[in-house]
Amino acid sequence: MNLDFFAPALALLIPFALGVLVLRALGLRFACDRLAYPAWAWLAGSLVTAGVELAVLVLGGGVDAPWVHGLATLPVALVLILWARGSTPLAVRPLPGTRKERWLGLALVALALGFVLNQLLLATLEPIYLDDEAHFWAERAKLLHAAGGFGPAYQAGLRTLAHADYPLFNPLSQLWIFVFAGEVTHVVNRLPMQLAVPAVTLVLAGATRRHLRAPAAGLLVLTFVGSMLVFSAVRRAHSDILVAFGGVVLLDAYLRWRAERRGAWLALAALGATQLAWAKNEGFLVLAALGLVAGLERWRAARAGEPLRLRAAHLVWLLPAAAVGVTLLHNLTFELQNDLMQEHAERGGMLARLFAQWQANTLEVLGFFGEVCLKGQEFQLLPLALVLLVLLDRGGARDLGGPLLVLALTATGFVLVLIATPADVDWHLRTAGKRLVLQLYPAITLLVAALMGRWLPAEPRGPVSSSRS
Amino acid sequence: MALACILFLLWRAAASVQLNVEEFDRPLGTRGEALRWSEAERIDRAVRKVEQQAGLGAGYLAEILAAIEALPSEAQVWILAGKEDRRRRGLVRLQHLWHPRRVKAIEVLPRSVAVSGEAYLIVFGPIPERAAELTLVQRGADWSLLGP
Repeated sequence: MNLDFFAPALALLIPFALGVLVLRALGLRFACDRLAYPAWAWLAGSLVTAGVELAVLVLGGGVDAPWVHGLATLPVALVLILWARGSTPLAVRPLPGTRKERWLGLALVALALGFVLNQLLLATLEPIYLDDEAHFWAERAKLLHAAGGFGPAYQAGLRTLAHADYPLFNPLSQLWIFVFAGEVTHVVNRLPMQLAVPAVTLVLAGATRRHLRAPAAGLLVLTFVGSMLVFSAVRRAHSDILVAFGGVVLLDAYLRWRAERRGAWLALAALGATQLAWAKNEGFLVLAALGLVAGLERWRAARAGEPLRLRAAHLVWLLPAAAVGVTLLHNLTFELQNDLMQEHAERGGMLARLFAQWQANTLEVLGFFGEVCLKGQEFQLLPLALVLLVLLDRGGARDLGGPLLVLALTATGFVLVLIATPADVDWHLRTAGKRLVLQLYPAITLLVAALMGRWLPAEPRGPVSSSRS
Repeated sequence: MALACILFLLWRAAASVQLNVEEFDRPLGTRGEALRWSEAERIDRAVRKVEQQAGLGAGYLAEILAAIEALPSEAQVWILAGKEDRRRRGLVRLQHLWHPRRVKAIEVLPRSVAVSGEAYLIVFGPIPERAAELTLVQRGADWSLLGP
């Protein structure tokens, strides 16, 4: 690409390399899942670089010297290397299915990935200057770059910025590109968000294969990429796809942990949860639903006499809490409040609005989501398929009760927030409604795979071995 | 049930392929251009698109943007024009391509409001009398850039 590409390419390689180190430290190797692994590495590394970026800015490192930011990752890399040396690689399960089936599945995934990369490439023809990607996300990154950190200039700039309370992960990812490019860019800074779409595709390719035979899994992945909202995600630097990415990694890793009871999967799930919580405020809702369901599960386990065994690996779950904490601290420091939570002079607070508006808005909100889920072009009827599978297969629904409950609670939260909107509900639905479904879409796709897998099971797995798949 | 699942997957995967094929090309440009173009060429194309949408001649807004870009980076830029002025709307639409320090410094002023302070001023059409003491920085076909 004839963009000034070298520096941004380096800026993208560093998080990937750091992500590989994080995964090694956790005991996760390429052979654990050759399709999903690059996506996991990208997710883990992006979190590390955004964290380093935040630390450099808070400590007054400025934005003018890329080597400062590059060097700042070295101590983290060293710790990870030392940690990785002591880690035990996870046992690898051989993939089920015949060779022919696996190749067919791979061909379908390659086609899906080809479609996504084609859209990604064409999207680079347009610089970031319109839409929320310019107004909220890129502008926040530009403000951080112009102000050189969180000083008075940043504070002054926040006053005129729309949704200045939104979490920092997206702007920090763009700032990372600016720093390495040595200037504000208008195209390549979209890449960290765009890359989340092929990454989600790869995570789904690896995850669905655990539940379905390879060709069926390939068909489902191909179905997933045929969505206008996925097209929109790959064309814009929005944060919704980052929530979706974190969510599907969280769900997949949880299901792997449930099957194998290895701490590494729980740690990967925590990284997914960290991304979704640091990407957009909706991630808080997912995390709250997750906390509620996990608490419920724990309570049931305690009643059954199962003691709580906390291990060091569980500490990684402090990361999503830290992501929420960083956002809250930022907003407290700069006296920012989310517009949905704010007390409005005429309509009151969120709870007051919910009671005042439920009669007028409930049907409209539910009708909107119903219509979106029934439109083939939006989400390929996968949300509808999930509802039908849950209704038809009570056993499967019980088996996946925890994840389904988290999904249902999150969706209910979205509906309640929209009913209580301080804005015109029609406008709010039109501008944000579909993107909310996008945030859950990859997880919905994976749950469809898990439920369909009860009728189209992947072949019985062989014994656990340490050989490569 | 297994057959229903397979048929559903085949049906939706086919629909997905059809949608992807329909969206395979976008009117913005070709894959070759996406690989060849520099960032400046991509920005030029975006500016031209906004000019066309605003019914302005090629290069009209680009010339003003170049004049603004030549100003000191901390300079504020105000636009003096009517709310419905398509030239103003075009410029505001492109504001995110300006220097980041300036993005939020753009103020759109109605014709009747007096301008004061250290801001630079883009005026479409004749320069109002009250702005006469400002320095003329650059003049285009029917626009002027005035300095403090």
